[in-house]
Amino acid sequence: MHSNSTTPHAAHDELLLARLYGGDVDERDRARALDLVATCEECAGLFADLGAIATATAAMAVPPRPRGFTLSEADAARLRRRSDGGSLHGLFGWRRALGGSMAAIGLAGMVALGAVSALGTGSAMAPQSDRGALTVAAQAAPTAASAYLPGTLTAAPEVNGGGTKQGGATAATGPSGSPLAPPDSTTAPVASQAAGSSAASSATDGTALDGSLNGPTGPTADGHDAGSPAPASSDDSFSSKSTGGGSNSGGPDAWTIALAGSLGLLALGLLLLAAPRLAARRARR
Amino acid sequence: MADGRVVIEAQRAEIRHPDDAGQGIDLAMIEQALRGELDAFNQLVVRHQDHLFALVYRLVPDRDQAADVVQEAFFSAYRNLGAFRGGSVKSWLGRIAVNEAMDLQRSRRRRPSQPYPELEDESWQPPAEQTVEPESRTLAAERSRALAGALAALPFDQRNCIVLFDVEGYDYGEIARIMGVSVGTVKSRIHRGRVALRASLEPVRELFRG
Repeated sequence: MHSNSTTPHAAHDELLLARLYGGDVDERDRARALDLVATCEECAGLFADLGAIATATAAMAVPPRPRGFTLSEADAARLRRRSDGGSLHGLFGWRRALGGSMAAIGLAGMVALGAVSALGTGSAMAPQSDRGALTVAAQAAPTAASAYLPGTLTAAPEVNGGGTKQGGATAATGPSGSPLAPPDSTTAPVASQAAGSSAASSATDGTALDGSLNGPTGPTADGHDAGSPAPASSDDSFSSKSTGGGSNSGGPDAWTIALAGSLGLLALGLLLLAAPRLAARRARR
Repeated sequence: MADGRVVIEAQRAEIRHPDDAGQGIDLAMIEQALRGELDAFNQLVVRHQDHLFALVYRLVPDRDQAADVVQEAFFSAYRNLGAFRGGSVKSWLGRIAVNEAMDLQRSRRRRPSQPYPELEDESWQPPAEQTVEPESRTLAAERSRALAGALAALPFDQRNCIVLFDVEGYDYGEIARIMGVSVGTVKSRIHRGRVALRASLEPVRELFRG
């Protein structure tokens, strides 16, 4: 066993001395620690201080308690109620987990749908030189427009090559009232300029096509003049889209269902999350 | 509840020594409280409130907050009387109080406040026996003040372990169970806490010597 009197105290293991005081040393460490105490004055002082501090901690003066802690009848009644309600805590915990999951899924769904919507709007703002899109849009447009112009649309539509704005109506809500449609048909020069996926949406407003359709236009079935700005009736446009929308007629339906589902999940999840709090508040009363 | 009574009866049967009289009284009071007698529970409160307050005050460096913790601990004990599974009532109450104190400490970590405010007030003097010499009383007060400040400066995990070990006399395993950590963690916290406490008290170490 070497002597520690020649090494500086800073090099000594103070934790080892604390472990010795706490009885947390094996035989080898115990010998090392005792050697430190025996040969290093500061280590011996530290070891003595650890004992003195522990003793003082146990004997530390405590101020008098500021009040008594006995329970009143009202306290007891309240606590009994809460205790009775304790059996519901498991159920509430289960509800909380389910509610959180549902709310998260609902929120994620809404974010995803929003992203899809934004992408759809972006595509509607595609450059006017996209002739392929024009063609597709032009093919889709009359079908939708015919819903507004029953019996009046006899000739095959042609695309207005100029692609300038005709008609003042907007199609902000699109065929199903969804934001998938371009926010304003004036910015995407008529349905005919829009990308294929959203062209039909723009086309729901027959007025947007008045410059591109050959043939007479007349009042619509509901009395609107097809040549004048017509209200963007989502119901009408939705039905027209559903019945004659062609290849992408299922899109808005799925989107709407997904949106409704997400909203429903979010609402139900939030309700489940709030239920335990409401119950707890009622119990406190 | 029924299981609890069986255990209580078993515990009472084990009490054979006069030193266990206090424990026997505690168990009898719990049994009565389980039958709905609030007075019995309040007798239990009166018997243990000083001890619990002294324990919690060392963990929570604020007298009012310590009082709130003790009150919550007794509320919790009343609510969970049926969950008492025998053993020492004093330890059971102590564990509840320590858990309540730890909850408060966790919330205080987010919202720190002035530790031991009454220790900043020089007019406050800890109670002392009248028979003690005035000099000794002054020294004890100084020591308590310095120690309280040093304890408050420790991380609360270390402080809790040291108080439970040195004041309450729990062993490492019991502290590990109460705090929900491993025995090795408890040992480490205690040893490191002791060294830190000693370093913190270095300037006034004469108060603790001789």
